[in-house]
Formats: sequence, C-alpha cells, structure tokens
Amino acid sequence: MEHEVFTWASLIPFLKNQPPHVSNALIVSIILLVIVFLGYKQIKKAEDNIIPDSKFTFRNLVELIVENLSSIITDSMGPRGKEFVLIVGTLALFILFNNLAGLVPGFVPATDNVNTTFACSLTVFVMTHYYGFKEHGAKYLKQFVGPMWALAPLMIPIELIGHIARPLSLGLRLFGNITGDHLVTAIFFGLVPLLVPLPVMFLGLFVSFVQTFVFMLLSMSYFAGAISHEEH
Amino acid sequence: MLGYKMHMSLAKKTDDKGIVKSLLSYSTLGLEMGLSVAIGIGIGYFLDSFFKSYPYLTIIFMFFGIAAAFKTIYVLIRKVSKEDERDHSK
Repeated sequence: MEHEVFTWASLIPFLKNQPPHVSNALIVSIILLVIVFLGYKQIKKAEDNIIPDSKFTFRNLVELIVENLSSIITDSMGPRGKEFVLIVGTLALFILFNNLAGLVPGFVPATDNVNTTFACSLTVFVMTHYYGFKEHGAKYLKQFVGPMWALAPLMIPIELIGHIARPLSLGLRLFGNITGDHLVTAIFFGLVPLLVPLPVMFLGLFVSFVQTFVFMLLSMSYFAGAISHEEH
Repeated sequence: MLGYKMHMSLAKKTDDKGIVKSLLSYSTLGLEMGLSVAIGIGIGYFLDSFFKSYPYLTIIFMFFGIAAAFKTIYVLIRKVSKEDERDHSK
C-alpha cells in the first residue's frame, strides 16, 4: 500500500523516517519490554516469590502469561520442551502483540509485512538446524540421506525441498492472514464506520490468537523433529 | 486411508482440547504441499537457466517437489499414529 497512512509512530521524531512495519514493531517491542521489566521488578520486590499475592496484581498477570506459555510448550514437546520456552515464547509474544496491535486504530500490525514474518520464520529455521547439530553432531546430516545410501540421490532433493518449504509456509501463512484481516477491516471501516467493522474486528481478534498458536505449534514440532533420536 | 486416520484421531480427541490442536496442524498441510511443488519447480528452473538445459531439470525437480509434498503427508500421518499410540498406552 503506497498511500499515506496515519500512524502514531509518525508523531515520534526518530521513528518518523522508518517504514511503518519497523516503527510499529519497535513500539510493540518497547511495550513488551516495559511489561517484562515491571513484572520482573515486582517479583524482585516480593520477599517470597513462591507465595502469590493476595490480590490480583500485575505480577499475577505476568506469571499467568509465562506459566500458560510454558505449559503449552511442555505439553506438546514433552519434558525437553523447557529448553525451548525462551525462543518459542518470545516469538509467540512478539507475534501476538504485533497481531493485536493491528486492531488498535493508528497502529499498523508489523506482521502484515513479509519482512517481519520471514524474519521470525527464518529465525525458527536457523535455530532448528542449530539445535539439530548441537544434539546429534555431524550425524544430523544423515537424516537428509534417508533410510539407505542407495536412495540418497533421490532423498536429498526431497528433504531439501521439504525443509525449505517450512519457513516459507510459516512466514507466508502469518503474513497472508494478518494482511487479509487488516485489509478487510480497513475496507469495511472505509465503507461504513459505524458498528459494521465490529464483527470483522472480532474475527481479527480470533485470527490473531489462532495464527500465533499455529506459529508456536509448527515451530515446536520442527524443534521436536530436530532433536528427536529416532530414525526418520 | 488418510481421511480415516484423521477422522479416527479427531473422534478420539473430541472430549479433549487436543481437537483444536490437531485441526490446526492439519490446516497447515495444504499450504506446505503447494509450496513444496512451487519450490521444486523454482529450483529446477534456476538450475536449468544455469546449465542451459531447459526444460529437463524443471520437470525432474517438479517431481521431486511433488514427492516432498507427499512426504509431508506421510510425516503427519506418522506423527498422528504415534500420538494415538501414546494416548492408548495412557
């Protein structure tokens, strides 16, 4: 979209010259950092960090988010999922907050640009192979060869294509869903601004959560495949 | 066969919130299959323009792409049946 869109980011002097997806991703990252920093400070302040506060405080909220994220990850990856809570949780929070930012007027979701989504999916791609090599050493390359050496010339291109398709589909799915949703909301808003965009915005809320969950689910299954010890 | 297995694993998980998870993982299959074929053709086309042998490598790599697409289904079926076994043994 080449036409000028008003965003809150264009009011901030340094972010004015950045493309909208960069400035909005920066704003969302700063919001996330503030949340994390406040939560961390409150946990530090508490004298006993096992007993939860009696009232519902900010610390409870942060603990709830982190606990739910890590339980989702350990549920689907097994006991070794703990090693991946950091990377998968970070990506999930970043993507979720960016998706949701699209529903706030004046913000552009950073995930409706291919650059952001492919940055996320390529991170997953590189880290998958990093963990694979860390776990298996040079033996990791053997899983590309297939069951026996005679089939290697046939299996290597197939495996390569399959592995390249993963980050591409991961990034493209997130980009497509968020762009489509944002565009539909904008068009409905342009046609009838009163009440009509509400169902579409509700759908946008749903899509934001589902796409975040799909991204998490797929990256977890890729990580689990890279560190698993069975024959492929 | 694939439909049956998907159906069985869905039917077993209806009382579970796992149904959402399995539905989402099946929904990712279509895009990945299509992209596999596209990537195969892309690699073949690139190699063809490199070796000046159009159209042979494009066709060969298209078949590699299709095979990769079917391998995606195979891997998913393996994962589903393994999860079913784990559910049975519980």
